[in-house]
Amino acid sequence: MIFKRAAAKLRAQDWFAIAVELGIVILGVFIGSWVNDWSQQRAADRETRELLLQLRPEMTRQRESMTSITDYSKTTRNYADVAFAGWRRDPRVSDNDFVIAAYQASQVYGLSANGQTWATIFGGDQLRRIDDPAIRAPLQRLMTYDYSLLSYDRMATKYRDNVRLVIPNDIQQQIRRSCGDRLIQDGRALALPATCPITIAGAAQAAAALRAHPELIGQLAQHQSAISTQFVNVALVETQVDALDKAIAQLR
Amino acid sequence: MIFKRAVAKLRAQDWTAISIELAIVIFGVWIGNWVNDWSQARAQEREAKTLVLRLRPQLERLSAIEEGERDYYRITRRYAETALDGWRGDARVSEADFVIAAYQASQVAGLSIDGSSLSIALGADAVHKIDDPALREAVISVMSFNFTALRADTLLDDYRRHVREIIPYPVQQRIRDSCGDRQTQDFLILPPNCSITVSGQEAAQAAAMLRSHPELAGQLAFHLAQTTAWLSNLSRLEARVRPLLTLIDQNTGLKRP
Repeated sequence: MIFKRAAAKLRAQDWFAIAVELGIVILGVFIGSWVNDWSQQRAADRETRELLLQLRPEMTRQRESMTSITDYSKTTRNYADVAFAGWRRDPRVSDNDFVIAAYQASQVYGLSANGQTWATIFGGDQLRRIDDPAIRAPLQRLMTYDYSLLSYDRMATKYRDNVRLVIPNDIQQQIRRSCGDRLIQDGRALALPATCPITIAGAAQAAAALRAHPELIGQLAQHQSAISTQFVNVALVETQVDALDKAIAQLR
Repeated sequence: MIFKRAVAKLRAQDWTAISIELAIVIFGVWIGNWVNDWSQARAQEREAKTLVLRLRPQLERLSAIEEGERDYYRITRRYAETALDGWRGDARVSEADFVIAAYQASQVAGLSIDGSSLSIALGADAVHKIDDPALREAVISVMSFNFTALRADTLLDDYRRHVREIIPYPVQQRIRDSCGDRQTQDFLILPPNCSITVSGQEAAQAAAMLRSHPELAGQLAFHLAQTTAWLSNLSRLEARVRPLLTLIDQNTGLKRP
């Protein structure tokens, strides 16, 4: 009796309307989920794009850093030329200038960036979202570059150590005080004065001490070759920074 | 009285319709969830495929670097042979060629890649999404490679240091300017020949200085041994990159050019 009544009630239902209702629920959940995925994807793309745009000031800073390293090394190279002339006893180079140049040629400066932080900030998932190879390729090169190749300790050569053992401490201090590293770019980079117009008391003795160590000439040549390597490495990073910056600028 | 009215109202409901509606909601949500899971699984699959596809250009880059590095050291080895001939006093090697070769043999190039950053950039965080175990293993083997073994540091040895202390700076500078490293995006190229003019006197003087340090020949032999060890580390990277490229092609239906 109960079964018959239940069957009759079931038969009395509008099954078409029920099927439509079921379809609506399924489609509703599906569309809701699809819209959710789509909006998440759009948000992620927007985030990647914003992150890329935010990189532009960093690109500018990187470029300024690279320029400062190149300028710094060019300045030390000029001092090295004077120091070589001093060792050659070129009459145009005074003992005073020789000592200053020998010291300044040993000044070094490298990048203090940590490449891994870059990679972590702009993680692999963000990188995978970038379809444009013009952005992805230089970004990946910059993210994976071994920045320790540009670090200061790469320039810590025998010349730097030994010339500082030969030049008396008070002279070194005087040169550092008057013509040492200067902070530039709001303290983010260093510069070395291109000239050092100071008078050193005891320059003749210091110059003689330097000339008593002719091995320093070879060591300075070796030091200069390390700087040449730094130029090559800096140029490599600069090229990628320029390429990335150009590609990001197209995003606007 | 209130209870009776409530019971009467409950009885008056169309419980069949309510049950059907409840079933529709449960079934609908279940199906919706199932569709959602299915679409998430597909998204994950897509993501894994994107990861693998995006690996390809990087692996091709590594392959190109490997080839570039091999070419580089083939050239430095030729210079080294000329330099060793020069130290042996071989008459076929001019003083200028000897000096140039001695310098060029000290040129080194290494991979400027930070291994940890590379694995982050390649997507170490998403490797677990790759279903194919062979492909996953191959990806992990590249990501976990110790790139420090391929830095140029291991080649900054006594020969490189000493020969650069002995060859006069202006000569070195001229060699570097005319025949030094040429930069591509990822690796360095060393010109195979170096036809610069070193004056007879300058060359003779530099060659004599080099010959007055016969220990440099031994140091150069050691440098060559170091280079061979470095290249064998490079082969180990190659042995990981090439099979991975093949697996990616098989998995994505791509063909290597």
